[in-house]
Amino acid sequence: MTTKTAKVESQKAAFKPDYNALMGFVVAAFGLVYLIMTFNLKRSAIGDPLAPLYFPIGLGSMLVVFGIIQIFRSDIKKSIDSIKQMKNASEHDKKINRMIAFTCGAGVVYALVFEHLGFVLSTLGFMLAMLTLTDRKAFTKNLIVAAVFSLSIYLLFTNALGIPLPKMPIIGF
Amino acid sequence: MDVLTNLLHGFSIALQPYHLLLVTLGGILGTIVGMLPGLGPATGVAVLLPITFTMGPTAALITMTGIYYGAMFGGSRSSILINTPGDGAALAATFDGYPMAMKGKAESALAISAIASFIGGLIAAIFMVALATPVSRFALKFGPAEYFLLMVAALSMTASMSKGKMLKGFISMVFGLMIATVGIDAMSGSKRFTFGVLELQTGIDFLIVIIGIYALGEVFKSFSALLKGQKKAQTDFGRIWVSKKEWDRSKWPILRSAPLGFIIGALPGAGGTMASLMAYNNEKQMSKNPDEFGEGAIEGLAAPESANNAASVGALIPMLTLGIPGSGTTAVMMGALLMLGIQPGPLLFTQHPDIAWGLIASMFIGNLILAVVNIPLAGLLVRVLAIPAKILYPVVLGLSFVGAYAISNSPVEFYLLVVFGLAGYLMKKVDIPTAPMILACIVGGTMEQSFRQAIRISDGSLGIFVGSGLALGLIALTVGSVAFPFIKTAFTKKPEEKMAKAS
Repeated sequence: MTTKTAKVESQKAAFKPDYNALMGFVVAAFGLVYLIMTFNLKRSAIGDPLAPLYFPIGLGSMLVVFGIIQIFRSDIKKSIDSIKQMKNASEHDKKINRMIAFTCGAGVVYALVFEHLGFVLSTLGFMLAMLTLTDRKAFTKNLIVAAVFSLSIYLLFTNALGIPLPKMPIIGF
Repeated sequence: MDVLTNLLHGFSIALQPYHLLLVTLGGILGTIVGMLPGLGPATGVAVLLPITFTMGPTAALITMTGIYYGAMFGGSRSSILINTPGDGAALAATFDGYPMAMKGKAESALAISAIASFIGGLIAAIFMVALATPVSRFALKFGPAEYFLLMVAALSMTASMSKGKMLKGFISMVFGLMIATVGIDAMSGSKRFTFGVLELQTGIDFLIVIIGIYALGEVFKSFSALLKGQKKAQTDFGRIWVSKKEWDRSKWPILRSAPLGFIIGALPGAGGTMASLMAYNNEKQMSKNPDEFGEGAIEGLAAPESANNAASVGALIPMLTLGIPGSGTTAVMMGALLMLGIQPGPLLFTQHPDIAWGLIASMFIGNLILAVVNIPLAGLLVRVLAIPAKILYPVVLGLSFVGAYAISNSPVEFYLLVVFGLAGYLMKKVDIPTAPMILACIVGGTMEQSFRQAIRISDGSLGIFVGSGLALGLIALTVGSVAFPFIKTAFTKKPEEKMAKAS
């Protein structure tokens, strides 16, 4: 059993994913969607009504062509295998994906609360979340780093650089 | 004589105590950021950008170039000490710098990298003085059609130079141009791809794209290294200097590599990485002992270090004189200048000589200050490498978000930052170069406007794009840049095929 697991792990390590064909497909599809959106744009009220469309039409067409060339230049079978292998991603890769997803989620929450909670409080929360993501065991240290970061950046921006940042409700900084 | 007068005027600006303080501060900050693995000059300038927002354009540009050179100086520290380049341009410093450190010659390696960077930067600054005015005067001959073709040539050169992945380079370029089409069309007032979002009407700020791609994308990429653990750097040193024998071995490679680096740096898309790798290969081929390369040959460190700093000065030529950024870092700097209401390009030297010549003079001063900072204080500065990555990456993320807010005063940019961070990571995953996208994103708006202006001037005829010798030359340059990799492959394949047939 152990030998079998080791064999599977070594096969996983030996497999080099190749997403080129998939990438070509995504690129061509994106180009197509962009082209459709371009044709649906409102025409210009002044001058040549199609003037704002020419450049985007050229770009969309180029992307479709490049995507198709990419598909033909790639090993489609290898790309399909790579997609299938995604389910069997290593624990290391899964952990990285979770970290990236968590960071993106934290960024979205940060955007939502930024102006309501003010810079100091929202940044404290965001930084604490990020520091906890990279080091779960050191809560006190993380809290100190997050607090020092948010306060020092706030003071630097508002006092030294003259860039206003949202204030906390009630407390006023 | 004109040039000399202008340069002296530039020195009178750059030597003002405030500007001296800024170039020193920028240089130190840049050295620190450049040293940190994964954070190159582009990320450094992008993340530290908000500190320049309240400055005047001259002070802002001097600070940014200080950060830029500082990052170029600092990039090789982590290459030498932990075998991890701060950025691509410092990659070649790992080949012989790290083996030198392993052999107990870290002091010599740190010293020669700073000396070579200083001399390389200085020689390139002299070239800059000589070339800036003629190039900007020549650029005044450009009409909208030539300007459009110039941008096409710059973009195709950037895309074609993405080694072995030209098609992906062009895909990246088109994505960048598409980003530039978002917002209200400047010539007709029509809304394009705004999806009803008010904040998108002014377009997507390319600084957000840059911070997302470089800073967030790099942090996402670094999560893998974070899980694997951090390498420990040597932080205690003896006297950081070189022996006479080491200097004798290094001086000619340094002097030879600086002009090479400057020329390569001035080509759009080529940049410090290509310059340093070419200088390294060049020296290896010229060396009487090529076997020593990769084992700690001091000239193998001196040559690329000289070339990559010279390239960083060369990269400023197209940005300052033509208004076309040739690299990611100059793109960020150009973005910052545009924000301050200054349009880089041929008119910069006549309309804002204080900015142009103040900057050029500050290159000399900045290089000198950085050499002073990087040789005696190297032991102190490299302690930054001891900062745990677990703290460093969240701090970079925090600075990126606050930088994005400072650019537009709206947290809506945070969503875009996340999107471009993810895009940067995915592009790295599928091996799509990001530089063409960044450059296209910056010049896209002007490129479209030049195209439409040219069409309007010619009453709808495309003949205007082949109507002058300059336009034809630019078309030839574009075709040549696309064809060159194929021709090169064909020529390098032939001897290999012959060898295969012979065997």
